[in-house]
Amino acid sequence: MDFVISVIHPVADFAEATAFLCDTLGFQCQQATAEAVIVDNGSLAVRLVPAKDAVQSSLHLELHSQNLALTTDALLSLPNVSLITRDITISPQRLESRIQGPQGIVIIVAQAFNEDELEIMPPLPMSLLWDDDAEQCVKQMLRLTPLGFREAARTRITEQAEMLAGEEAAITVTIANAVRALAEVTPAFQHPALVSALQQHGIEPAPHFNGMAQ
Amino acid sequence: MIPRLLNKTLHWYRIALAMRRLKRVDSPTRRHAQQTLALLLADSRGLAMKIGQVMAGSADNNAFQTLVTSIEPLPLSAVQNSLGKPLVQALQAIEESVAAASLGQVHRALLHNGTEVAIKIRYPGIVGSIKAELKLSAWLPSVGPLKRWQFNVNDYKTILHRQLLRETDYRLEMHTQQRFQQTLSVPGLFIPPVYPEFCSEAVLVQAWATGSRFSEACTWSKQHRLEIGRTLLMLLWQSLFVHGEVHGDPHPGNYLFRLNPQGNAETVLLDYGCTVVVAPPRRLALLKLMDAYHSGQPIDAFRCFVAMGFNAEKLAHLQVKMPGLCQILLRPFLSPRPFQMQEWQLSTSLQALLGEQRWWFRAAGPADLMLLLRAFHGVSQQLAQLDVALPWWPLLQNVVGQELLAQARAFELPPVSADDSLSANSHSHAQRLCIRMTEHGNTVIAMDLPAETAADLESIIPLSVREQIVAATTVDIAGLSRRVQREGIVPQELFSVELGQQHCRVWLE
Repeated sequence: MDFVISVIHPVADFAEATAFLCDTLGFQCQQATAEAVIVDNGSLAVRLVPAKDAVQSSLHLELHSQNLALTTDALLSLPNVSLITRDITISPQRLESRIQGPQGIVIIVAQAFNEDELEIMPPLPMSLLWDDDAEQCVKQMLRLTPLGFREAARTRITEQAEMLAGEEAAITVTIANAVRALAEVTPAFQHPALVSALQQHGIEPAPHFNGMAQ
Repeated sequence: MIPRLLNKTLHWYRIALAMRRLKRVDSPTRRHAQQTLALLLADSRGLAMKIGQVMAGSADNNAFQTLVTSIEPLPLSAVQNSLGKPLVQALQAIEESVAAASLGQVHRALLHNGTEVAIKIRYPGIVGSIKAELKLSAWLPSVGPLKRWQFNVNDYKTILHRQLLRETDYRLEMHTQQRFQQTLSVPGLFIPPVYPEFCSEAVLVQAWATGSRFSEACTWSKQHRLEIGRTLLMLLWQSLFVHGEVHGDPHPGNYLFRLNPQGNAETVLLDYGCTVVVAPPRRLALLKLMDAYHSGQPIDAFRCFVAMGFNAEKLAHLQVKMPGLCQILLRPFLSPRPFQMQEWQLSTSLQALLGEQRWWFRAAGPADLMLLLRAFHGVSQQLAQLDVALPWWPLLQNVVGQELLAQARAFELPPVSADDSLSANSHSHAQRLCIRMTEHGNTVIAMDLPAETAADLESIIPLSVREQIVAATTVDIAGLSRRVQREGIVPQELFSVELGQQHCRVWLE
């Protein structure tokens, strides 16, 4: 099986390109000869080779940032760097700036936004019908779930609530099914926090927790 | 009389040829072959049309659908003699039929008391015709490897004959419909009441019911499609596990769909001529198996299948694959979420697990299981077309209740004799057909094929080699295949011959 081992980028000046990649972007120089310089950052290897003509090709490198403005400003403070575009909205979930570095190197600085930053609540992966209050309840409780676990929790709670509705031969998930599913999917030691969160949202969970460890 | 019989015979012969052709053609020409066969089957009422309706299943897009929805009825004058005096006296008006089927046709009518009824009238002379055609149906080809896998063809014929003749007696159908109406309680299910005082062997009178066809119901809102899907699944579970009698004719003409005054979808189930009775031990064994797999409890799946009526000796060939087989067959019940039918890929999964050996599973199944499988298959197809995902296990649990589940868990599986369970191993079913050809001591051909291919050696040995074998030896290749079919696919030397400088050896191991 063939696989990519490096990206080849023709440059006119090895020293300038290597310095930018290593000193600014954190690459390590692995090998330097008259024919090629290989730099590597652990996940990407770039092989710099001498440019054979006057036309400069581009090497686009994408940089993910938690703060697009700060990172863009920091990069622009470096020598031999200029702004191409700033704060372009690619999609509601992604914002980009493009910066021109030396020797044809273009840096795309991107910031991705999660559902909390966007203040949206993704839909539940529903197969059955849901009462509005059941859907809102689950969505609100998911807001309290750490982001890293939320997608898995969203799927698990939705599935469980629908299976509970099925036990009643129903095709519509009720608030009772939803709360019961939340209780079953949430680890027992977190039940007090769940009960409290439900109560804060005006839902009395006690009837649905009957028979369950609290 | 003789020319008529000859015509019938010729007709069945043409059907047999068309069926063979349909089996062999690839998908681009398959539809054309289907249409040809559908036309032949539609050319006469009775058994041929019945076969076409079975082939139509519940899919809306194949050529056999014409047999379900667009059969030309006979004029009322041709069938009205069958109506009894009480019915004729009670009738205010009766319309020409717009719905004809294989054995009879339906007329809409109004009684003097204002009740709208559907009168199903058996075609005159159809019973005699069915009996004659059943004799001729022996001409039908053995579609599929019936012989090779030791299908009990006589059992299948007996079931088909018994079922068809049963369907011609509308009094039996009337009693079945009454039984279903009195015992089933499924949300969204409507079974039209019958009027026994007007029914006879050739006439069935029931309340007139209207509704949309299945293909139209598939375009309804998600809520209504979910309601229909739930009704169909719960109907199957309740009739199978609770009452032990399943509606066995799931073609779309037997269902109507409508909205009730509350705005919920209602399924009208018609035609109770074909039902399957499942004895308590068989249904308890199936429920026990489902429950054990769902809860992850250990279970002897082999014994469960034997308790369901499977032939132990044939099934023993698959004994080591039973856990995997159950995982595939029971997948919708094991899903932790509402099950989307497109996820199942039943045929592909069975093919991947069993390969050619899947025929052992089919051959091991009791003949009457064919009708039950048809009911299962019908519901599966309907759910796929409705494009809804439903929670199978919770719905099943709701239908059967804790008491029946407990009964299934406690059900003692009948013992299986050691001979049966070990027979496959003691006969040690061969795994491979090995073909080796050497020249001057060097191997020039080395092929290992599934052992089952030994039942058709002629198709795998190149013609040139066959000709050499025939010319130089006394080996009878066709005879060897017949012997394998007859005596089983057990390890053995099939032949070993010298062909000039070459040596050819074929054996099962």
